[in-house]
Amino acid sequence: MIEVKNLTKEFNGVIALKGVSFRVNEGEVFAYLGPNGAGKTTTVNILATLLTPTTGKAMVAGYEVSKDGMEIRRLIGYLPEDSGLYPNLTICENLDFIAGLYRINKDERGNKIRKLLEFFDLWEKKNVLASTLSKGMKQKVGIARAMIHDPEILFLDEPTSGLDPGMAREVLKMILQLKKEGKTIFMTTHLLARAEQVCDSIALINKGQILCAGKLSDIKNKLKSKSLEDVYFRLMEGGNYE
Amino acid sequence: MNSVVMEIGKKELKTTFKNKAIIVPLLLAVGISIFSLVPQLSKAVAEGEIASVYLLLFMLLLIPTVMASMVGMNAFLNEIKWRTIKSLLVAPVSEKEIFMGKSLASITTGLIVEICLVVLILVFFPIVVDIPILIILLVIGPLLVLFATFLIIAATSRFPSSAEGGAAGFIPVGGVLAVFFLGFFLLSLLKIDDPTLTNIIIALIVAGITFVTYIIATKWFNRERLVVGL
Repeated sequence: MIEVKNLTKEFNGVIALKGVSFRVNEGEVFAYLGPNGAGKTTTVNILATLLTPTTGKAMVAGYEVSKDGMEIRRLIGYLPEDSGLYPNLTICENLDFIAGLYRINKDERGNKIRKLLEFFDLWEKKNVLASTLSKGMKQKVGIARAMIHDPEILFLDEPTSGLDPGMAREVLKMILQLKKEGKTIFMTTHLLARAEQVCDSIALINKGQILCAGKLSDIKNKLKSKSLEDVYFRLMEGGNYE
Repeated sequence: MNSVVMEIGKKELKTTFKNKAIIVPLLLAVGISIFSLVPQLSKAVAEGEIASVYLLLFMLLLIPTVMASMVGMNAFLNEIKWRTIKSLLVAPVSEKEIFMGKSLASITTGLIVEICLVVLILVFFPIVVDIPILIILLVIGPLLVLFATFLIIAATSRFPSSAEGGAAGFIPVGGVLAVFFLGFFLLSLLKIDDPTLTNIIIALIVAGITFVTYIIATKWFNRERLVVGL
């Protein structure tokens, strides 16, 4: 479903990604892990067609990101690291605008928005201005927005960022629900224990380089680690995976 | 018109006109300009100074272009400040649609002001409404709004930081003045003094430059520059 080969990204002489390669299979939950500034968001931005790779190849659902941007954009939903809503529009207006960009007709829009807002327990607040929402609520609206066109693949950049533990657990439950529906989910997160509960595969990145990638169970077996947290810190502290 | 262009335009108008930080300077700009130019126009009309009337009419027509520019200037800057730019760019919307949607809000604003000014001029000033004046009011004016809009949207999409502090606001004003200087330079070369022909030539120059600006602007549009942002 997603295949990345020798991906490199350079910004004004600064190399953000150095030969990144990994693969995500259809219907998987993939956790992309690493410290701040490791290159996680840059990778997600390339896969979401927001940035073009300097060298290397990235394929999403059989389409190449640097050539088939429009086809990929139709298939993916994307939650940026900062959910970013129009502050002087209501929750409903924010979702309605994005639904319009996906050419969802007016009648269908109303139903979809209602279904999503009820799912996220936000229906009562549909006419509240986005600027007055808490960080957690903004994040929920951001996820609803990413799902408005029922995408095949979801890119969630820090979906639990700023959420209280209860809300973070709700979001992870929702991710599992989406997985059951056959969606492919690519997420970045700092919450290793939570990620371990939902993900099938992982890639660990540091300073723009992949430290390990593959099925979580295979990686744990290979490193004789009991938990994802153990894998993370062993490799971050210089442990060798190969 | 394309439904996505309409959606972007509608959203742009909503977010602009719900924002007091934009509305207040807009109203001030229109108010001050009208109150400073109208008495001079009245005087020129009363004294029958045709050249002054033309000059003042052109100056009045700069008001809608300034309005359109002020709305357009914030189009991409706000998306970056509000961190909504990625959600817009990740949607299956072409560069042309984003550009036209953003332009639509500015053009609508500019044209509404333009219509109000034309009504004000035609109703309250005893100007002989001849063909040259109609060309100025109904052709050159709207074309200038389009030109100023395309110029500001192109500039701020390529260099979003130019909109910070309002520096980009000078770009369309400079562009409009450059077009006029080019027009008058060509007219003096061709030695044309017929007002109708003069205005038709100016209108054609503005139309040509507006079209070229649109083509360059849509080719210039770059998602990555907006994502990397300010």
